[in-house]
Amino acid sequence: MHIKRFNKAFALLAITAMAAAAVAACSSDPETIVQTVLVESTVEVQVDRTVEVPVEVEKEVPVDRTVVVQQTVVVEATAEPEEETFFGLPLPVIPDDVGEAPSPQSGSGEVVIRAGLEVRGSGVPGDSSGGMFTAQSVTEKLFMTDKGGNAVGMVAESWELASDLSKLTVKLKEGVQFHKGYGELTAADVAWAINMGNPGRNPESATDGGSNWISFIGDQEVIAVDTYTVEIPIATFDPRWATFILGQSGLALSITSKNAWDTEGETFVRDNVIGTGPFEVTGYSRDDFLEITAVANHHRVTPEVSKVTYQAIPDDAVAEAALQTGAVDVSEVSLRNMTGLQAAGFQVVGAGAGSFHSISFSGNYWERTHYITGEDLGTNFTVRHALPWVGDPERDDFGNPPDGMTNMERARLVRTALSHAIDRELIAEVLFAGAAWPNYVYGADINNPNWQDKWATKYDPALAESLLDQAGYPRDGDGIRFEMPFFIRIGRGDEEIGTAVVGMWREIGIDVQDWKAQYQTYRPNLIGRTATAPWIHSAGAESPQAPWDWPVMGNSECSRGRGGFNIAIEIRELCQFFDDMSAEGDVAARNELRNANVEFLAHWMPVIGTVARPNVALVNPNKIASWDMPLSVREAATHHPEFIKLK
Amino acid sequence: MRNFLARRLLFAFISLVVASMAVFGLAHAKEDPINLFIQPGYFVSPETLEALKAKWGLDKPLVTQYLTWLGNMLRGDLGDSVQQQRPVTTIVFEKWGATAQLALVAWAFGTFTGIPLGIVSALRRGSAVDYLARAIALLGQSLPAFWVGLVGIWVFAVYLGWLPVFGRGAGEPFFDQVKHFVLPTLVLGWGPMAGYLRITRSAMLEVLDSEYIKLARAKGVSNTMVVWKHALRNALIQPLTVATLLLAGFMDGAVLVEVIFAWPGVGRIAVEAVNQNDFMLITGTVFIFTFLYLFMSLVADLLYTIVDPRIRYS
Repeated sequence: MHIKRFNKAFALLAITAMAAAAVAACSSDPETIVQTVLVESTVEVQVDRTVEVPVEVEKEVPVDRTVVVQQTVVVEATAEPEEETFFGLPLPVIPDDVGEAPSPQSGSGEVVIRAGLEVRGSGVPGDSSGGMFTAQSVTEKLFMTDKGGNAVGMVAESWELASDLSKLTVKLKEGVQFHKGYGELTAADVAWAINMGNPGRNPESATDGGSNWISFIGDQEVIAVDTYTVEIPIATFDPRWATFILGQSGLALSITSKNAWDTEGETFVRDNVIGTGPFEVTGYSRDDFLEITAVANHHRVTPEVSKVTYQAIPDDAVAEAALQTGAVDVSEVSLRNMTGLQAAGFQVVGAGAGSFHSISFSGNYWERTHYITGEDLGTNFTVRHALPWVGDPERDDFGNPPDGMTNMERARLVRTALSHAIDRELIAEVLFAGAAWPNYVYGADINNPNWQDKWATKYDPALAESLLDQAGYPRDGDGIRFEMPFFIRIGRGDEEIGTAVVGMWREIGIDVQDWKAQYQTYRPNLIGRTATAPWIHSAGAESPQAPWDWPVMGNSECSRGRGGFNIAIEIRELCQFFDDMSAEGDVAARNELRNANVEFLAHWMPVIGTVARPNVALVNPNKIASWDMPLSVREAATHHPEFIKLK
Repeated sequence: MRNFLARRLLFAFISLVVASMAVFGLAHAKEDPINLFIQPGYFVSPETLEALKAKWGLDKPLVTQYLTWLGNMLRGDLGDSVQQQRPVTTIVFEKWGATAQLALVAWAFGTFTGIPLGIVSALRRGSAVDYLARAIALLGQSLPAFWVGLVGIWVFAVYLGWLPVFGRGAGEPFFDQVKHFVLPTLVLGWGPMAGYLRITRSAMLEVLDSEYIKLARAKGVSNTMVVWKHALRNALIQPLTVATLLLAGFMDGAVLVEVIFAWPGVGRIAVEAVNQNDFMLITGTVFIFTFLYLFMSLVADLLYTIVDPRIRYS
């Protein structure tokens, strides 16, 4: 097909040239003329993106004339993208037999969306709960993603990254207004918001992803150069800067009104979120409901929906009942019940995001000195006796491994065996009704085009038992190999997955002592680096849909994050991968580093995956015709209600 | 009476102090509160850590921290929520109205159905009414509230469409708001109603079987007078105790019911505070709950003298 199209284009050019030659030949007086001819042609090469390029072609005709042909050539260029692109995650399958959804109870032009337990937000940049108002488009950031996950300006008009990657200069859109008459958005607002939220400058900032802010900007000050120009210094370049760090669905740091802060004070700003988004807050009762109303003539998009109410409904079963009675129009529900509700007429929407459920083999604190300061970490105290799943890189014979085998290798075999014992397909099928999929390596999704099947530890209980035998843990008279505690966090689906995994591990002779509790009960062990009981979580590495070349796992997985959250492992190589990837400007090189990172994790298995799942919601099609959301770079199931189209 | 009140208030104060020590100790034993300020995964310098500790008074010895905290509590300053960065009193009182509304309605339902049913059940001992009342009591006390709530929602809201699924209907017309109260009230009040019923029934049976009632009947006092004047008044001591403490319990937040029906009350914020180890909010709310409970038990003691003239405090 490509050849045909190329020939067609070539033929068109040839005819044009021949026509020009014929005109020249027929002319009695040889002369030089300049003629402009518009030609539209398609040139097909290896395809990545389509751009329209006006091309001036100077063509010598074999007569005494020169024909200057101005063409508009549609070139499908091979230009290398700046970063790997996002990719689509699988969505729940639509059942064959679909019923009729209920009539919505909400008023005309209004939409009611179920929120979970928390309906909470703050207008203070740096407060931990600022994210909700960002997701609901009350506040805005410099950039947002489009549907494909590419960065586009939100309040940014244009931007320039210094060639040495030392700073980012952003020109803001003019005329962007804060809600409730708090004036025009200026560079001073942006600089104030980022400086307030960056923990490197404001230690009291509790913003989400503080580590990334510190890494990206450090303790440098963001400066308003003039009314509409802001300069952001860069301490360590991060290829995710536009979509993740400064992007709307990325790290939660909204731009709110400095004017409101200056004139009304902190308490007011905390309770009254003054943003620039297409919706403004018109009703808010913390942890109860949030009512937002469309702003007329918004600088970006004026919503079709006049009012959106986010209603806190903590219980999933009640949320499903609310959907079925038409009391709410949109709700996240358990994936297991998704098919039944789809059959009842509800439709799936999503922002293209998902979540991993991973198991940390806690206690693998392999570093002895701090990644940044070089101080002695005193890690030796953590593990006083050998644990089968914990390796010690400095004591090869710790715990008396079998002859010729180091302590690290033995622990690796144990972890590999435990991974092979998990029937991920079964979990995905039974617990998530087939809507989830296996995840083998921490943070690496099998749907990513860069995934290699050699990294998968497929379900093979016989192999698992063999590996445990090799590691020197045979079954005893009661069929038990060793005892292992296992912390299962309640909520987010971890409880059910963890329970299933316990059963599978018991099958291979592990006496698993499971401990189900709220995350907060285990947190002190994580903060203190004293956790040695493996635990299941959906924390740490970023979302499954993230591009392959994104640096992940650099803060909560090594000693750099000491004093803060950690997933119960400390491995220097993971921080090093993060830093190397962050500093690498070339996408191919970053991909290579990521491959090496996955290879490392697939070999050593300090953390393993169980399943990954899409984060989606159901909508009542009798209220919402479509909701074409930009892609979420994190975990949001839905966001940007300004793109809702009503039926 | 004055001595009794003084003694009672002293005991209440001691109870409050002991409870506060337990609450403060548990909140600090669970996790060093400074960890709450440290966000996932970034390096915190020792200087920053010390500055944060100093700001929140966490650099002082635990006893000093406790005494400072207790002093503030007694002055009505419950501190600021760590998570929300707002005064605990503001947070609690924002939600108190919703909880108080539901508590009063559920309490009234439980009290004013349970006690009469208990009386009727006792008076018609062995009858169909008695068996029915006891069956209601048995179910009310044995069925878990979350189950009753969910089944109630599916039956009355989803299938029959008579009642709303969630919320308190703030801003809606009066009749619609009343509908919002029906299911939460039934779920919250059914168990206590069953309790009232059983307690009242057994108390009434005991009193009706006593010598002075027999004497009254022998003297020809009418049945109405015997039941309502002599028996009921003496049988009300136990239900009254239950009623006052139950009201205090309801006012402290009906956690499950508030979660199931998305009722925006203090029960939910207390649960959230525990989940997030928001120690200021935990200690503040528990301090208020404890105070309320002690106050209501004092009220119960005082009400005894009104209900039963034989009781005199001196």
